[in-house]
Amino acid sequence: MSAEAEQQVKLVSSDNVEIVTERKIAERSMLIKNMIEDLGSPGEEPIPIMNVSEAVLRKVLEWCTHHKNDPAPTQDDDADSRKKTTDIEDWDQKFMQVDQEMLFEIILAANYMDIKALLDVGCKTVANMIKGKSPEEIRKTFNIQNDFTPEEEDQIRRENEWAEDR
Amino acid sequence: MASRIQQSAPPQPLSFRRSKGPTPSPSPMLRGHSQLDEGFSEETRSLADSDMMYPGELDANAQQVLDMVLNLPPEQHVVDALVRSLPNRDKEVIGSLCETLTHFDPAHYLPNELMFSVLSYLSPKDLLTASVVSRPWRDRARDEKLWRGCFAREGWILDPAKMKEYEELAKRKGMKAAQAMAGQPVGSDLDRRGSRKRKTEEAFSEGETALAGSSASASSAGRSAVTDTSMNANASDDGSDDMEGVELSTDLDSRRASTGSVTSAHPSDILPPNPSDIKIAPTMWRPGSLDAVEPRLSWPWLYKQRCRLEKNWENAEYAMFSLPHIRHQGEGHTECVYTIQHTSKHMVSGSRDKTIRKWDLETYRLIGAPLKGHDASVLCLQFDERPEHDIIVSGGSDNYLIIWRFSTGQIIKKHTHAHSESVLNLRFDDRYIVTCSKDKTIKIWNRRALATDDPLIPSHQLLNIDNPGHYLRDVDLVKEYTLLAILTGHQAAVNAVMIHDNTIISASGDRTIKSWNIDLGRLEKTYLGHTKGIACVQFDGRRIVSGSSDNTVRIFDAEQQAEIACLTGHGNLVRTVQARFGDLDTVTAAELEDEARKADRNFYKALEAGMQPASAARRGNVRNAGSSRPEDMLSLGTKVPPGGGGSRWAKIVSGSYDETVILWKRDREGRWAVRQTMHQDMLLKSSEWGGSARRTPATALPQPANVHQNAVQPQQIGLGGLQGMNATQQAQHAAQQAHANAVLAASAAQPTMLMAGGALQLQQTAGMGNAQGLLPSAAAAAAAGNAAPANHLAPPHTAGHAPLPAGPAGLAPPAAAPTHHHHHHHPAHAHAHAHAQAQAHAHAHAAAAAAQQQAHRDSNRVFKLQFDARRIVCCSQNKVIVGWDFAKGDKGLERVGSWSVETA
Repeated sequence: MSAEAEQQVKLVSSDNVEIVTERKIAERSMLIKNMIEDLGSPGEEPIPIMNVSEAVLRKVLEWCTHHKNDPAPTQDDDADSRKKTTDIEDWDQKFMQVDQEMLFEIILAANYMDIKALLDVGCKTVANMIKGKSPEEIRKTFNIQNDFTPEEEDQIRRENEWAEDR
Repeated sequence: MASRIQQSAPPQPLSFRRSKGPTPSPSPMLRGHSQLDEGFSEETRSLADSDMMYPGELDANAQQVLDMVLNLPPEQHVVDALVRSLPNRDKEVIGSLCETLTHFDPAHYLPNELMFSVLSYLSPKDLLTASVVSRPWRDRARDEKLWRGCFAREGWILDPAKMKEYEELAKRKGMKAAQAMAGQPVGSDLDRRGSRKRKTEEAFSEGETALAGSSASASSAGRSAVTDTSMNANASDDGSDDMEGVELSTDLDSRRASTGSVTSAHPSDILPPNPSDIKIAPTMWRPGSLDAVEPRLSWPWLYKQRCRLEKNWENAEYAMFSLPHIRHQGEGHTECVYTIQHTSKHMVSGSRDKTIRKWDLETYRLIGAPLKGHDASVLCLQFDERPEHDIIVSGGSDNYLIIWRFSTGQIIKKHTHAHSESVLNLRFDDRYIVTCSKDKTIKIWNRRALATDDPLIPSHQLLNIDNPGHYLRDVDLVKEYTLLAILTGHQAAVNAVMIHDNTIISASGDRTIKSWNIDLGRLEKTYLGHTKGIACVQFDGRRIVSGSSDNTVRIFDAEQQAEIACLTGHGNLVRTVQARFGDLDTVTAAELEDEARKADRNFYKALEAGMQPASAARRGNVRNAGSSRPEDMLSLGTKVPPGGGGSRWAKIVSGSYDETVILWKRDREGRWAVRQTMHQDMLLKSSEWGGSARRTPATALPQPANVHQNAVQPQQIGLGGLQGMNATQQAQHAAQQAHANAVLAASAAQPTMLMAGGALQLQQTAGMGNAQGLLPSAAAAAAAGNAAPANHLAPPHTAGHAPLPAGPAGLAPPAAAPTHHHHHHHPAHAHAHAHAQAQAHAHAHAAAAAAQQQAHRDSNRVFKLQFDARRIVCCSQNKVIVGWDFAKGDKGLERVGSWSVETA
């Protein structure tokens, strides 16, 4: 098993760059894990990661390396009622201090490569950029055009007043 | 709708997003602007430029560009020079280009399901803010699943079957009817506010059930304005009913507005017509679900209604109602009502008049004939209306335990010797009926026939009640409603029981709460803290909430047995309590314990910093009502944090012999505080009940004939009563606070006569332990002396039958009895003193609020209350059952309230 984990695998990014990494690291991605299992001969065939560019793939693998010894993701209850925390551990927070393009690309890659924990961290990071802000601040944060008329915006704001605290 | 709103720009071309070079490839936008600006470029470059160079004047974007440029390797500083050489206008264009290159709208960049994941981390408030950002954001922030999650995370639960039923009904009635049900204009997104002032609900509700129809006819006969259901009827009549959950703005409302008890019209209601394609307020049916003729209830709407309902609780926005309905007083109990239970549809009550009555909570009318079978007061009951259960179980001071069929009122089983004394309380679940009695025992009965090897049969004791001296093991089949086990250990009457999984919780006049393992029949734990007998108890699996003759409500950590909060505010015995912490599905036991550990750590930190822990003396007086502040901590090492934890909607409602119902909510420090103090008198003193200040009848409640004279009075009179109620409410609330202080401070002397009355009542309470109201009541006599000629008071020889509480028994331990006063100087005496004053206060302010010399009337000592998402119902020494409906006539709130499953 450990020998298997130390095996190297070759990944190929969308821009055709080959990256070699430990199998254990790569298998944080369920996509890769399944592909390796299907291929049956890890290490020989390069694994194409079609939707992820080299820069993003390297970043994702950096995360996988740091988290390679994390316990396997438990099938946690995704029940509606469970409290959702946006707390992010320190290392992940620093890891996510990237420009927005990279942040979104990481999220897309994590989704594509099926790395749930990384996807969660990415989504939480974006959520934290929204939390507690005013609509105008959110627009500024993401360079969003306000496509409401002032009247519309005013109406929506007033409609939303029921949620104000006391 | 989604596709139309989504005017999103197509995803930016890859080259645009990915350009990594120092000089971005010019976008069409840049080019266009450059060309336009050419004419100006020469003249604007100069002084202004140098002004702009002060870093302080750069906006963040320009600064970002500048930083980027300055960080380039030296050979690329040409870019720097290049940018500087541009006219300001072009620099701005570059700035905004850089902006689009560095900032991305996640609603465009991320596919919907990922944007959903992002938004799923937001609170409802943040989601509403997000819905104002842009149309694509609005579209995504109003996602059904998102709001279903929000709803669940508040700890709110709806009955899916009831919602399904409503959706099916809408479907059967067709699209138009469904839209009418929700008040949505037919077939158009172009949704004008004006047209939403719809012709709506009434068409539906009339057809919905026969009962609703009878309600409407009742209202046309002229209903009590005291219940806001009449306002409903009015609203429907003039077609201004409203499914947005907007407060009704009927004539009644505007007339009442001056009382200050009516919320102002909902903001969106006064907006000008909305000309755009967006829906401002959430709608009852999911967008598009009507087009597919599959009407589905919409979660953003449900969330909003549920939230507004909760806020009505916080702001004391309610309509009061009574059972019997004021127009049908002949349907009511003829003596005081000891026990009630209700669902969203039905209520069942048990009275000293030996009957049980079923009520329809939509019409407030009696269903069928009163159930007769008890030969003395009905003291406790529970029912389950679901067809597969169809059961009422009742116990009385005749020692009977009776099982009835709910639907027919037929007696299924009657144990005439269920206990050797009064059956004071009972609870059942799917498996067992648990009863408790003044005979100090708790008994467990099976609900269904069981094979003798069935694991539901407790392993410890198998007595055969039908065949005394024999064990159940001797028979093949244990029939339903057989006594399975007897739990003994309490030293006095057992006043209340609760069943939860394999645990029974009991509360006794012996000042203890005990927990028992059903299977082993073993006493597991004893909870100490109350200084007098305990009248009521509730257990949700985590914490135990109890009310006592020591006038407090206390909360215990069920596992660690520690007291984690003590609520002071009542001025007399707390006879009934219900708590809803609302976190059983949202917070795990481990998370709750983490919270408790955090409070512990803060306590130790504060100790190290030199804090003195709360002294024993202080603990004796003002106990912590749930604060987590280190200096307030009562218990360490608990599994539940101080105050018990719970959602932000957590509430406790308690009823007392001080004739008040208190709604407790947690304040910002987490302390349980009196949020509202409510009185049945707020309704019963209204003119229609003949109790107005000026027309004080000698009888506590007019006979039906009498009422009908009052009844012809137009509704304004009733409104006068309502206005009076509000004033009274405020006065009494203030008085309540003051009197709570009086209890604590035990300070100045009070009018001696009132004080004497209070003291006597205390004695009476003490005496009740042995003689369920059979003692000639000293208190009643005192009260009579206090009162103007009052023909409702029974002559002395029947005083024992005056509506004195038959239970709970043994609440005041013998130590508190007057003959023993001298043995117990400090706690008991001090308490009696405070008690007398509290009593005096209560009397004093009640008198002030009503009329100075008002005749004495039935007291309103609260015996039992129950609340759900929408209502509090409360029965008392008064034969009229009173309730508070926080939907306050709003159809949306009524719906969500009745779909909620939140009773403990």
